[in-house]
Amino acid sequence: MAEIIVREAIAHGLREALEQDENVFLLGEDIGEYDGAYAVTRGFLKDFGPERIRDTPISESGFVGAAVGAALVGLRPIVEIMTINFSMLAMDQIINHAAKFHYMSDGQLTVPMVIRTVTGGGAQLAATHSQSLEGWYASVPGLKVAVPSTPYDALGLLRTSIKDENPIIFAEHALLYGTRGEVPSEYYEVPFGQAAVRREGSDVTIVGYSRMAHIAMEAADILAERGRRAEVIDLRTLRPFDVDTIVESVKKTNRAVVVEETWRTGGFAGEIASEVQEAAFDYLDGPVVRVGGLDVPAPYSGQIEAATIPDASRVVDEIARNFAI
Amino acid sequence: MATELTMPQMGYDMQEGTVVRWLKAEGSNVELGEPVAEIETDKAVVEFESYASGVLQTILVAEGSTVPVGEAIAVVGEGDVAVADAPEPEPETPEPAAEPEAVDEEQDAVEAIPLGAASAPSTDGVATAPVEEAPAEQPVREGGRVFATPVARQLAYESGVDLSTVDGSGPGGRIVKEDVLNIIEAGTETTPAPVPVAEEESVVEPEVEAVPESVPAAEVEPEPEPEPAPVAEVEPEPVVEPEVEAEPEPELIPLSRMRQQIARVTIRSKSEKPHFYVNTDVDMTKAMMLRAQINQVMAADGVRATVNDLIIAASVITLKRFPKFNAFYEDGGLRMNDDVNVGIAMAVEEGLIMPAIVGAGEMSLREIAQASKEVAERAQQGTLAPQEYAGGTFAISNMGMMGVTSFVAIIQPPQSAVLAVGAVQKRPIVDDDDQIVVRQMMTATLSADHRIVDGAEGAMFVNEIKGLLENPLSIIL
Repeated sequence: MAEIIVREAIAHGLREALEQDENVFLLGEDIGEYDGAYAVTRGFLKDFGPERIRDTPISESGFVGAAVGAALVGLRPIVEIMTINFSMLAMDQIINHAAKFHYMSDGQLTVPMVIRTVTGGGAQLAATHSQSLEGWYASVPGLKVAVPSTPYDALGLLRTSIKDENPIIFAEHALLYGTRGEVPSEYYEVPFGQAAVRREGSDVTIVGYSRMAHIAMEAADILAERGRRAEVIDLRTLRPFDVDTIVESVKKTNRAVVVEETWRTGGFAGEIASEVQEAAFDYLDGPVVRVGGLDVPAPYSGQIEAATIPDASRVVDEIARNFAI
Repeated sequence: MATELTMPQMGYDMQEGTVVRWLKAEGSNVELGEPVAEIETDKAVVEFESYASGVLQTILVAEGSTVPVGEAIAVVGEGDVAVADAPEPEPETPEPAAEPEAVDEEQDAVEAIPLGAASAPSTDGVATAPVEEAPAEQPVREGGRVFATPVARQLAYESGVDLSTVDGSGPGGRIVKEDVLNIIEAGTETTPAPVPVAEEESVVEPEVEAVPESVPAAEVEPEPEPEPAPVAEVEPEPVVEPEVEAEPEPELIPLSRMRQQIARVTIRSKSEKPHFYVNTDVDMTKAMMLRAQINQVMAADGVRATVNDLIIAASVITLKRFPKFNAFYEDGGLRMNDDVNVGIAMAVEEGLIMPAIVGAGEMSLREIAQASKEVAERAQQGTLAPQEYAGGTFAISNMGMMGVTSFVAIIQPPQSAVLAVGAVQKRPIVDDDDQIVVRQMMTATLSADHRIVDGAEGAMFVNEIKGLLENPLSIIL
C-alpha cells in the first residue's frame, strides 16, 4: 500500500469492514450522494448501495440514536457526524445511552458502534465549527476515544474500533486528511491505550495527540537545533490513555509538556498533566507544563485563529520559560 | 523596618509548634506584647504575643500548620496597612520578584527591602505574556525557602548536598537537577554529608520528618534563657516487649504526640546526663502521725496534706541547703535557679506530665498542699500554664499509691535531679536497742546528674531529706 494519506487510510478501513461483515453499515449526513463532506466515503454509495450507505437528514440526535438502536440489535453501525461541533446535538444519545447500555443492562447488551467525526480548527470555519471536543468524551466511562495523527494509526485504530464491542468516538482532525504516511499492505491493528514514541530524546518529554502530535515533532526539531533532545509521545487514544509510556519517558527526561489544541481551561491536557505528576512527581525537574489553545471562541480570521492554536514556537517558548532550557 | 515573628520555643524541649488560630488579620495593627496567635505545643495552647509593634503585614503560616521553632510565621512592619508592598517573604511567589539585575548575594530578604516604587513594573501580578528570556536567575530564598524541583531535592538528599548552598539556574532561580549534578560532579561542596537536612529544617526540606531529633536552632531563639522542660520522666521499666515473634509484620501503631515527646525527652536525658542513683530508707512513722494531726487541724478548711506534700516540703528545705540539685547544667557551667519549683510526676491519660509547683520554695506546707492539689487538677484538665508544665527545677516521682516499694526515675532535662519515692509500708526494723520493731518505712531513690554532683553529695542530699522526714516538726517549723 506504501504511502497514502489519512483520508485514504480511513476509506480503506471502512471499505474493508463493509466487505468483511454484512452487519456493518454507514450512516450520516452527505456520506452518500455527496460522497462525504470530507470525501472519505467517495464512491461508497455506488459500491455498497443505499441500504448500507445511508444518507441522513440533519438530525444528529436522531441518526445517532438510530445507530445505537441498530447496534443493540446486532448490527455494527459506523456513524459519521460531519463535525464534532454537531455531536453536541447527539450528546444525550452518546453519553446517556450508547455509553451506558452495557453497564445498565449488566452486560446483557452491547453497543458496538463507531462514531467518526471531524475535530479541530485551523480551517477558518469560525467559532462554531472549529472546536476540539474529544477530551469531553474522553471523560465519559463507557466510551473510548481514538485520536489518530497518521495514516498508519488511522487505519490501525479504525480496525480496532470497528471490532470493539463498545461505542467509540473516532476523532479525525480536519487538517490531517491530507497527511501522508507509510502504511503496510499486510493486515495490522493498532491497539487502544498504547501511545507511540515518535522520537526519542533525553531532555524533555512532549506529549501530543492528533494534530498536536505533529506540532510536538516540529517543536522537537527546533529544540534539536538548540542542542536539546526532546522525546515526543503521540497518545493515539485518549480513553484509555497510556500514562505508563509518558511516565517512563519522564523518568528519563525529568520534564513534561502536554500540547493540546482545545481550550487550555478544562482541557484533557490537565488530566494528563495531573496523572503524570502523581505518577512521576519525584522525577520532575519542573512543573508539568500545558500548552493549550487560548480560551477564546475560534476567530474567523485565519491569522488570528492561528494565534489561538498552539504552534511549535509557542511550545518551545513555554519549555524555555518553564525549564530554562 | 520589618520584624519577623518566629515560632517561639515555649519549653525546653519544644521543637515545633502549631499555629492554631491567628488572632489578628493581615493589615491590622499590633502592639508590642499583644497576642497575635494561638500556638499549640505538645502540652497546651498558648497565646503568642508579638514582640514588635506595627502592622501585621504578612502571615506566613496558615492556621493548622506546624512549623519548627525559630521559623518565621509572620512579619510585622511599620507604617499603615501595607499588605501590598509587604516585604517579600511570601513563600509562594514563584516569580523572582522584580529586580531585573540579579544581585548575586542573597541578602536577607526580609531586611533588605526598602522596596517601594523603585521596582515598578512587577507587582501587579499581571504576569501575562510569555517571557522570552528566562526571568532573571537569582536564588530564590524569600522567607527562608529554597525553591528546588522534586528531582533536585531527591538527588540532593541522596547525595548529601545542602540545597541552601546551591544556586538555582531554573526559572526564578529554582534549583534544578542539573545544578545539583554540577555540585556533585564538582565534588567541591562536600557538605556535612549524611545529615543534610537536620540543620536545614527551618528552610524547607520535606524530608525533615525523617530526622526529628534535630533541635531547631537555639540561636534563632529570641528568648534569652532556655525554658525548663515540659514532660516526661520515670517509667520504672521501659517495658519493651522481649518476645521476638517470627510472625508476619505486626502492625505498627504510631505513637501519640505526647508519647513521642516522652520518648525524645527520656532518650535525651539518658544520653546526655550521666545518671547515678542513691537510695535510702526513711522511717515515716512520725511523719505519718504528724500528717494525721495536721489534717485534723486543716480539715475545717477542706485542705489535706498528702505524704507527697510532706516530701515536697522536705525537698524544698533540702534544695535550699544543696542548691546544686536545683540548678541546671548548661554549656559546661551551672545555672543556679533562684526559685525552687518542685515538679510532680503525674500519670495522665495520654502519658505522663510533670506540673511544677511554682514558687514552692516560698510556701508553707499548707500552701504546698493547696498548690499541689490545684496543679494536679489543672494537669488533668490540660489547662496548665506554660510555666507550670515547663518551669520545674527539681522533681519528685511518687509511685507509693501504686504499691511500688522502690524504683528509679529519669531526670527531666534541664533539671539535675529527681527523687523517686515508693510506698510507705510497715516493715520490721532493727532499732537502736537491737530490737525488731515495726515501723512505717519508705524507700527514696535520688537520680542525679553526675556532671554536677557526686555520690557523696547525693548521699548528703538524701540523708537531709531523710532527717527532715524522720523529724517532721522541722518541716513545718
